[in-house]
Amino acid sequence: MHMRSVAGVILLIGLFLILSSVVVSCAPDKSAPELETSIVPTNAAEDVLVSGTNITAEQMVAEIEPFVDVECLDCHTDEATLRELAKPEESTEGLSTGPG
Amino acid sequence: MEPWQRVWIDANTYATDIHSLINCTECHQGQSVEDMEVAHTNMVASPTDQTDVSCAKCHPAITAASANSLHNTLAGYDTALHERSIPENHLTIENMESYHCDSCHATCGDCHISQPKSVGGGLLQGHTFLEEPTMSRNCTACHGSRVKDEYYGAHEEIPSDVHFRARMACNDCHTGDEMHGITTADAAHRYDGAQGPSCESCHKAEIGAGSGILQHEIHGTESISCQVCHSVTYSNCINCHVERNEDDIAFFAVEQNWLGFYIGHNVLRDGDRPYEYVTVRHVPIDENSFSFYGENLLPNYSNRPTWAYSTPHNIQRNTPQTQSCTSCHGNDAIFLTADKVAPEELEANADIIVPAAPPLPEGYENVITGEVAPTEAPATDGGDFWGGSSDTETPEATESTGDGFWGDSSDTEATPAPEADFWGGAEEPAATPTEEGSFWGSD
Repeated sequence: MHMRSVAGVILLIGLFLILSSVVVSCAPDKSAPELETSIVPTNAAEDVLVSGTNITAEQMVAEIEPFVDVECLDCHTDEATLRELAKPEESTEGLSTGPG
Repeated sequence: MEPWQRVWIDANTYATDIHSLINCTECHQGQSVEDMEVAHTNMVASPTDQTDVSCAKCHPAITAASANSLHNTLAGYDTALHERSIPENHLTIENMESYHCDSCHATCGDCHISQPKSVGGGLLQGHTFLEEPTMSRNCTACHGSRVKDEYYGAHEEIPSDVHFRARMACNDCHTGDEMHGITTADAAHRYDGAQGPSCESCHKAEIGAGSGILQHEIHGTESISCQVCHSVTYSNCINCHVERNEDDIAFFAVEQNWLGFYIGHNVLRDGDRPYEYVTVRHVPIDENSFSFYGENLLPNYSNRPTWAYSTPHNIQRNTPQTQSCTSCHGNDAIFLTADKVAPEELEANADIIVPAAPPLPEGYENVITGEVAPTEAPATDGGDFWGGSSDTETPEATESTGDGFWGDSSDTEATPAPEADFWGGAEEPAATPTEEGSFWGSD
């Protein structure tokens, strides 16, 4: 009796595996194709030299005047102040219809 | 994005940006003083609107090229509208464009610092300059109804683009060179000049003779564009009209749109796009689209097709077309035959209309690939499977009824898990296009 039960379970598992493989093989292939990774779109040549000079943008920035606009940053980095000063948005009803 | 967030500078991240070394007033003008009114007097909120006095100082090559890019010139609109008009109407058309089209104009800041103004603006990452624009908050914020919806798989039962499922963002294909107009200098419209990007850039070995792929071997590289076999139903719009209300707010109305898939003749056929057949979609225009601004502004309406060369962004490896040879050969349902074109547009589209689907050539047997296991056969009478209709002169809005064709429509693979790099900041809400933030593209 015990042997028959075990055989029944094995049979059920076997049927389940067969059924699963059929389902999987019938499913549409939505996978992404293998890409040819050796060919990769490239960006433009680096735009680092300042026009008409041999210095880079980074070097030029380093040569500019020291940062003094602290009042601008004091306010615009202060979330609480910005929240307080922000004007409430006027809700404009969408007039357009259909896909844009 | 809340109003305060739009102008909030993140001190932590911006401090790591080389641009933070530059004084604010160098680009924004105004004054650095405590009094807000005084500080903002003569301030320039979007200094990159004038690239020659801001970005160009350090990025002269890119800004010079960008000045001639389609993102800056919006030349595609003029190309399409001028061809349908006459010089006497150009000024009126340009006035119309200033209300309805120019909001698509993209400056350096619209891609690298802020969300585009057309979707409300606002700093992307606390004023940190992003070398690569984000997909959701920059690119598809404007390119929404067609590119975004198709690429993301927003249309019910139509899966997202295979490249999207492979977690590719816009700039994985559309390079900085292209966006900055370096490889597309002086283009009159988006399909002017060499293809960039092209499928061959990554799939060279899989295309044409020698690919080892039967269908590619047979069709070669000049008979059909890749999209003819590898894209699926996409958006088509018709009868767009623009107006302004009493408060001078511009708006539009698209009276009809539907999902469909159509193969037409390629009127842009040249060395860059040698295909005989391409996918075509109806563009959102009709003869009276701009009648609010004047009568008969498009007297030469038939000079340009209303079914335009198209490259839908919903590429799939297996599609209804790839099932068998007769999915396309002899199947008028998926070709732009005359009965699918409105009578008043037959003249404009004469060169695109396909008299009948090409039959399976002699000597060829129908090959069923077996790569897709449809539960519903493709329609052969212009039915709903293709999302189109051949029994009406003007297709009605329809949706594919190919239930089960794509398998489980709740495919979890189609929606990548949030990831900051991929989405461009998962913590931030995606931009919601306003009525002016539409992507009309240019046909």
